[in-house]
Amino acid sequence: MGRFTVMARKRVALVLLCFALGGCGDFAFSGNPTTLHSRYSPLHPGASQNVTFTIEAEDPEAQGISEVRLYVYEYALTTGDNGLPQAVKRKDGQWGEVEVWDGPWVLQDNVFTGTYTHDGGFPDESYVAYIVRWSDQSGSSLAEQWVFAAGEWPFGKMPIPVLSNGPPGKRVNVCFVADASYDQGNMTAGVRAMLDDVEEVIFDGFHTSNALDDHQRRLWQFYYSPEITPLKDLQPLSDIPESVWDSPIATHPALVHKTNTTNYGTGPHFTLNGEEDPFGNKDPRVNVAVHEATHAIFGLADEYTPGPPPYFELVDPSVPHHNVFKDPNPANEPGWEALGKRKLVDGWWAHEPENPICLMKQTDSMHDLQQTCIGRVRWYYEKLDAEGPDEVLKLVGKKNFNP
Amino acid sequence: MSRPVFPSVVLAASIMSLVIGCAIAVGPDPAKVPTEIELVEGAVDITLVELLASDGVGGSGAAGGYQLTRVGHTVGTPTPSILRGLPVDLMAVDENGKEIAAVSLFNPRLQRFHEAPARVLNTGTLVVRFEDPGYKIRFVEITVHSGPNVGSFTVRVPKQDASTLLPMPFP
Repeated sequence: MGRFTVMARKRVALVLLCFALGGCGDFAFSGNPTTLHSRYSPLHPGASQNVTFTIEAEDPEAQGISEVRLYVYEYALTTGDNGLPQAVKRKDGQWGEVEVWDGPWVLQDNVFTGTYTHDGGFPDESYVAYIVRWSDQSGSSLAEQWVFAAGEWPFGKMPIPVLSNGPPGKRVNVCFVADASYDQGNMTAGVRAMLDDVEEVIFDGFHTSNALDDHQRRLWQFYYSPEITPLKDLQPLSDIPESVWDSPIATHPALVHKTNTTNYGTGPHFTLNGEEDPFGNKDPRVNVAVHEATHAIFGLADEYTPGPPPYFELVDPSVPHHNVFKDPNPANEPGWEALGKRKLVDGWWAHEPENPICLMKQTDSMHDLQQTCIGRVRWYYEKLDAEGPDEVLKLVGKKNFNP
Repeated sequence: MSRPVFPSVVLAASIMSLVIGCAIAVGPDPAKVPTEIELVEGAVDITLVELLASDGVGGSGAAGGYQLTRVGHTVGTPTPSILRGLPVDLMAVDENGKEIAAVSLFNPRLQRFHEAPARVLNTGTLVVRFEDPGYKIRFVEITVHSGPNVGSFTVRVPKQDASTLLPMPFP
């Protein structure tokens, strides 16, 4: 019987370890990451209202999706000892797996789409978590989790979570507020109409932007105010409901106009349209929403040219990745020569050439944010100190960003 | 006679292969879902200040500059403070001038639009939620770098007590 010396054992272990680690090279995250998107409808469902979950997974390298599982967990909302809202597992409520998609038919053209309807929905004062998990044939898995309110909301005017997943202090928190255009004499109906409108803004807008690529979507949480503000067309900020400012969740208010307007704006808050242009004109509401949010949250400037001069620049040089400059040759921005420069109007310069088009330049479709802007976004996320699988954030964060 | 060791090496490496090499689980684990969730996880002490910026002539009756119009303490999540260098810097300090918290925000009197010139308002409001352990903030120092009210302002924040506890926006 052959015998292995310690050295031989180490060599074998090393070879096998290299083989094992080499296998990582084939893992779905390494090249074109597998993507996993999920959504539910309607936002903030009423008591006992059916809820439909939709899952989309894409496997560009055809590793082989072996199964997709959906788990739903039902909580009852209550007030914790600290006086803040809390959710506790509901006795006899839904808890665990509700649907499995498996078998060879799951993978078709490297894309999977599945839907599941939770008949009968959830009772009043519910908080519902769901996890969707995709697994490939190697046993690797990718999952995401979201939480939303269902049924009557027991916390008065406090903004209501429609898509959240973690500590608000380590997330970007957007709170939709319906403006007076939704006030049709019935606040509940008006807010419901706004919710139906922003469903598309979230899932077909924010979640399609490269600013929220892959796992960075988990860093954004969406809420809405149950109050309609009397504000019309960007009147002073004081008209935003105090219940939004005073809530324990610091938010970026997002004012939603029902009908098309070009009065999109950015200040401490940002604005967007909730409804399609009734005249059939181009419908940029989802793109504009992301554009305006990018101003408000990341402090990036417009890159219009020529246009009016709505530019601003951050005065603190410690904030990196500025996208417009007063100086045509800024000293502190790496990659300036490689990227080129573009004159906007007299005295203002953009960091990047005409093409490819950045969403901060043009909003007629969901253009990607280009390198400088993505640099700011990534920098912001790092400062956010989000909890979670940071190694994954680093992996996917490199995908479209190669300065 | 020594016992063969190769199978154990293979077994260990195989396990390592499974654990480290190929089977990677990313994201939440359905087996570890908590039975309780704090909706405001990580809440901290907050001093909320509402500031009115005014040109002093717009019919609001407010003096030019920045005035404190509302203050209270609460708990929750502070105003994001990652970005610095926006047009208005606000630094909250204690009675000795020591910094407690700082944020940077847009000028509340300047509204920017997608396809129209910016509009200057007679008044504008900022609501800031400063993280304030022990509620020690006594002054807010405001520096306006660009837009209306360029300059420096200081507002005094009255000492907080139980009477200034802001009610939660729910029963």
